[in-house]
Amino acid sequence: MTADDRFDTRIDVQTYRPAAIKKAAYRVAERCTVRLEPSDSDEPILRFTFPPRTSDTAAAEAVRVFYQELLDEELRAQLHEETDALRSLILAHAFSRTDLLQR
Amino acid sequence: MNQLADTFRDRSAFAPSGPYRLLPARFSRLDDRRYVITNDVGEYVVLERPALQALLRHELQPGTPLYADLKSRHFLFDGESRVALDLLALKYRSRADRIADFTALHMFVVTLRCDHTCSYCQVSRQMEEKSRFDMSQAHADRAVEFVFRSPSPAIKIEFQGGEPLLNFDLIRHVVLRAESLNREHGRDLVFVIASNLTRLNDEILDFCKGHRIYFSTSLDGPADLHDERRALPRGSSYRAAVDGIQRIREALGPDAVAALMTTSPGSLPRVREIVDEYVKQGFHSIFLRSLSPYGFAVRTSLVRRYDVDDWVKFYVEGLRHIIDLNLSGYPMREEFAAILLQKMFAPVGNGYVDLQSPAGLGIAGIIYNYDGAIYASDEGRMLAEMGDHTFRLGHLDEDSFEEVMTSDTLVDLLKDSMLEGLPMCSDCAFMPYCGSDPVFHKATQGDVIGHKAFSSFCKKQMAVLRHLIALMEDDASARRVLQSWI
Ligand code: SF4
Repeated sequence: MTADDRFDTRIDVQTYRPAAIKKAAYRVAERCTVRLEPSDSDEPILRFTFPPRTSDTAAAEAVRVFYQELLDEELRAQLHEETDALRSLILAHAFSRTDLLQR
Repeated sequence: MNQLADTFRDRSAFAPSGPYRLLPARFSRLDDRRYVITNDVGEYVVLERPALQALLRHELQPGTPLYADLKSRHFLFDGESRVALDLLALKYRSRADRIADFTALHMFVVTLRCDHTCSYCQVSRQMEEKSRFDMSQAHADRAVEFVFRSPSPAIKIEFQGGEPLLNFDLIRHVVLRAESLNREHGRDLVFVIASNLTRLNDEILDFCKGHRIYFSTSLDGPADLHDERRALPRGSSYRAAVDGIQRIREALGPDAVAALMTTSPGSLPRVREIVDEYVKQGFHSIFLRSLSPYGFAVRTSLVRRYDVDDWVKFYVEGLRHIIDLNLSGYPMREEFAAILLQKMFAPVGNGYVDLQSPAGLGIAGIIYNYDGAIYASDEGRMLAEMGDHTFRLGHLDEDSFEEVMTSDTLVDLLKDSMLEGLPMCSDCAFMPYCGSDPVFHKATQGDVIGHKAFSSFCKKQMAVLRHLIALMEDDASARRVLQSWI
């Protein structure tokens, strides 16, 4: 792979939710730009674009790190789904008896 | 159901339906094998990926050590947990409580004049003789009024420059005025003079006795390293600093002076010598700091000459040396690690101005410039010297304390600095130990939030926190030393 090459692959959006794909893309932004492009099939295209003079090894590593982050983001999404309402409850409880207005 | 309706469901709706229920948490990779999971009150557990997956899939077995650990640190609760939610709420509130007692640190730039010509100075120096760069007494009096408008029970007034001792008359005036007002207010009031100590004399030391005045000075390492960057047109800056440190200790006591080092490219291969210099000067504490991207440091391209990876290498080697010194019997604390460890283990965290969420801008510290302008932080003032006035909150001649503290400028900056809502930070396990640095991100990325994937601040935070957690997990003797700093 050379300088400003691209790498395209398809991604199963049943397995990975778009929000997780976007968050993983944000995390690897220093190594590459990741875009989700529509395609003719059910599976959109994931397009990786690398900065000029990125070596093959660095590009392969960027893609590997992206997928690693994607798996983490999927797990995070599960955790959020289960705990977000609880976090609101805890925060509401934490500040329910403050005297901020009297200070 | 929308989020608001979710919030107001009966508590029974939150009871665990299966063997256990997850509590809010964030996780990040610690290394190739392990993850660290943290919660909003700063507890953490290190676990391998299969264990993390098992936790999230509700497959952990009650009765196992990991289950007990996760339960006692509030990552899950089960039918036997009676007070998990109340305890978490209480702990969260304790950690957030300091925000209500805002602005403990008030910095006065009593003059911009300086006798040094340091290449990395964060303050744009002015020639010594230009007294138009001194703060006026009227501005100083008005700033002292501001000081006592903040509700903080503890107040620190720090005198900065330039070289503040070049305008010692104004320092004396502010100290006496603040002490007189404090007879009515009864705050815990202390003063710090941040000085290069070249102008220290007996008259100054005599005044400092009995007024709770401390000194903070710069010591970058051995003489050649210190003098290389801190050019004093006549004489050695290193000599002035170490002689001054001795004189202050003799006159005011052993703890009346602290030293701060600044890392320059020349420091990077010499961290052990730097630490040893602090030992030689009798210090039991050192803050291994990175170079800030402000003032002359940027203009002279110093900040670009070394990368955050080089600094992390420098830091890791320095910390190892400090831990070894402790193990060999010399008590020595690395302050950056101590701040982060307190955020991890102390119930109320740590109030260090530069690592807060929301940022410490205005609410942890505020700075009154020599010309009466008010800035949200010292670095914000330095950015203004470079022409960027984002962090200017107002002027002592024009604005009241209330106007400054409720200004859109400050409130918007604070809103934008809450990590809980920032991309990447909101999902980061290190968030409870981290902070926002809007001035750094404005200086380096042109935006107060900053893209954390490109941020050397974020890279540094992650690297140091990963290193500290790994030491706590894997190295029993290092853990004992680190625990003694909390
Ligand atoms: S700045 Fe970086 S390390 Fe700190 S909370 Fe944000 S993502 Fe985490």
